[in-house]
Amino acid sequence: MSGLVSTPGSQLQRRDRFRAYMRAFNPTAPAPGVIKAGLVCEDLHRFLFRNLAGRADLEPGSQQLLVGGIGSGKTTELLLARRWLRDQGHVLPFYIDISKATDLAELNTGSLVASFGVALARHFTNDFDDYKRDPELRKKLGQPFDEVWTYAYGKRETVWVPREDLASGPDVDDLEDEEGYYAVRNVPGKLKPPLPALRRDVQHTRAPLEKFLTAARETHKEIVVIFDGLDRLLDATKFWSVAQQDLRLFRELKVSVLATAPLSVLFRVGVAQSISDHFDRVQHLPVIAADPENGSLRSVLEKRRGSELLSDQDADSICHYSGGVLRDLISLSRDAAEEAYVSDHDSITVADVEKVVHQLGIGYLRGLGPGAIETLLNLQSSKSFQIDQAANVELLVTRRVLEYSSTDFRVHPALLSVIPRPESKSA
Amino acid sequence: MAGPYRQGRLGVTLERARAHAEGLDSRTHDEIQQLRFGRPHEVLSEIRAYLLRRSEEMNTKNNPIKLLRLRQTDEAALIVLGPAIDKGPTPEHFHFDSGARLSFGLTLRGVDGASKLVSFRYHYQLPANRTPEFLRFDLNDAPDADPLSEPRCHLHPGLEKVRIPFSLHDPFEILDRIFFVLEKGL
Amino acid sequence: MPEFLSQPSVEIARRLELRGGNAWIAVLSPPGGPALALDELRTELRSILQISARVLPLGTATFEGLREALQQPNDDAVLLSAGADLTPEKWSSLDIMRSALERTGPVILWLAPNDVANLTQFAPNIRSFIGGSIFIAAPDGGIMTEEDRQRRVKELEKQYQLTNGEIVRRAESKQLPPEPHFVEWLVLIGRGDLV
Repeated sequence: MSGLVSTPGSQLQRRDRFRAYMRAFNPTAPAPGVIKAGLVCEDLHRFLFRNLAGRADLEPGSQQLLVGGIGSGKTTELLLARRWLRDQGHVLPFYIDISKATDLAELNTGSLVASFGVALARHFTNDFDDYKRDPELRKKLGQPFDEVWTYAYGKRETVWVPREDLASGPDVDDLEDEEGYYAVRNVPGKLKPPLPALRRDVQHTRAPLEKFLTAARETHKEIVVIFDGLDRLLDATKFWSVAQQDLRLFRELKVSVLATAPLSVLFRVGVAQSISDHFDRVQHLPVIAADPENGSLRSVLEKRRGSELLSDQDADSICHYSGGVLRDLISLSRDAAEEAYVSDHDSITVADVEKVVHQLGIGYLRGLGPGAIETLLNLQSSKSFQIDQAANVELLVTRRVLEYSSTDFRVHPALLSVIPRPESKSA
Repeated sequence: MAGPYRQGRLGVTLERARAHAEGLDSRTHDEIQQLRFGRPHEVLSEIRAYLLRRSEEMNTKNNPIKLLRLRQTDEAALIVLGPAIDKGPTPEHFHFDSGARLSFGLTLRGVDGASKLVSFRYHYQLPANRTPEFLRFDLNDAPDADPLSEPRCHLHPGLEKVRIPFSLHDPFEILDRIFFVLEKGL
Repeated sequence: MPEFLSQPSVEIARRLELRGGNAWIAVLSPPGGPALALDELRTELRSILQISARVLPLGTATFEGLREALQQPNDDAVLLSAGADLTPEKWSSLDIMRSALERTGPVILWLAPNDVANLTQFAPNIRSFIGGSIFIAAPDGGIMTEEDRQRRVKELEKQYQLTNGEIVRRAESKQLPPEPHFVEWLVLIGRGDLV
């Protein structure tokens, strides 16, 4: 008796087929690579990125927010906006993921300006051919470069410490110079865990930034900065406290801004009203409904050649249980294939889909107390959801509740499939 | 006429043959004593990963995760795949595209956070109607009194009573020869 | 309460190998013997993925320290050990810096069983990256069962027409041939001391 024999070459082919599928359905792949690989449906949100980018171009100094839940595709839209702006030829766009540049938990006033200054300075010193060839330009921008860099990353400086500032002790007694001594001190910058900053600090960077912008505008008519990552500051108040002053300076400098912001900005809770009033546009990126008439979610799967392993029925099932959250859609598609592979199936089966939907659902279920479960069941049965309650905003932020519009809220379908129902009481 | 050994004349005496076999066996024994491997569950993990990769490159389906087994006691650890005695194909064997099959057992002893080799047997049964019928690579756990007939590490070329000295002792080097030399040669 | 999928470490490593780069998963330590389970997982990651596997404790990590540790190198496997006492603030800090944690090599969150609630509540961005890839670390399925052990012993008894007792006696009196079958036999019956 032999082991089970497949057709010649089929084991390798099977492995390669699944691996190719997994590469296409990687929910954590960096967005630039996914766009470059042609796996993105650019019309998924009706070419929203063109609207955002177009306004940033046409209205110098304009400020727009892109607000959406976790995994809704914000980064992709912003990167598409950057590409569109770059393609125009006369715009110099900068994309900055502020959460990579610095510790957002310690973010304070000046950090956005500092990161923009660094990006602008690097554009000249690393990327700008003219700068390398032009000694006059280097002379003109050398000092602003130093100022911007110091603002961002701090400096080490030598300071005189007078004797009278020191406590007495053996070290003091050993001082050769009776007046004091020189010490090296670290002055932190905006992009390190900072000391408390003076608000007027932001304006101090205006002069060096203007010099860079003047040089940049000799070749590019408009400058646009795109800030990603600010949505991680889940609390709208925190977001506003650090962004407000920086954004004012950007407007003064006529640098257009596109930025992400926490979902709580949309729901006029606390400071949300003043945030919305400041911006020229607050664009919501909603969850995409998996209605049969709306083939958008299916198009995402097809763009990545999901039909290699997914039947139509299973594709529809995955679209439904993703709730329209793009990252969940990609995750479920990938996980179902993984389940099929380790279970020795040649393609994804209904059982594989059920298993991964269940896994996703219980991940959302964990940590929900009886009150939250009751809220969710109430939402499911009566469509009633009080968005002004903090606990309910939390359900939104953690994706247990999904927003299809500012008034259409639904329980995440994967969670709904595992949520315990109260036992019905007998009559 | 018999004459001095290695002087271009016929005449290797049995005693000289035994003496040379003892010398070879002694060197083999010393080499094996010096070898160190990871802890038994690390060796199991590595063999399993090796067989998983090989499985994916073959047409024949095997499941090394289900086939490999570890028995660990305080004194020794035994890693096995397939039956101890090959009496015909079973689902517990590792099956090759050529129709050959493999079963093996590897015994280790823990020493200072690592392990040393005690013994092994790798039984490669060739497909039907091939000669020899099997090749088995054995490592005994100690030298024998007659190393000429029973070297500590030896190959059975299809004959239970014939043992040819064999110099590969690393489990992966033996598996490499099975997968990349024997299988390819069939 | 429904449970997550229980998977032995070798299956978890296989899944990561199939996924390729930038993979994120969470593994829940078993109630008994978490250290052993973590060691087993590291072993399987090294064997299956052919990369080294480091453990980084999250409790004492700073933003800069963690970011640097994950990028140097950025292609090995990193197990971020959460510990039951990781505060909500720490979870939030980790979540905020999720982009700074992105790397080519796999990231495995090693969690106590009750940590999933904290992950979902205080680190929703990371939870989104993990999706449904939350597994309970199960024991290695490669351990020989008692049934299997007995079957093998019977096989040897039948082949050599000897009993366990006779094998032990011969081993004690140094009369047992040094062949691998007899070595295995002694290990199977728990007399590896005679090997």
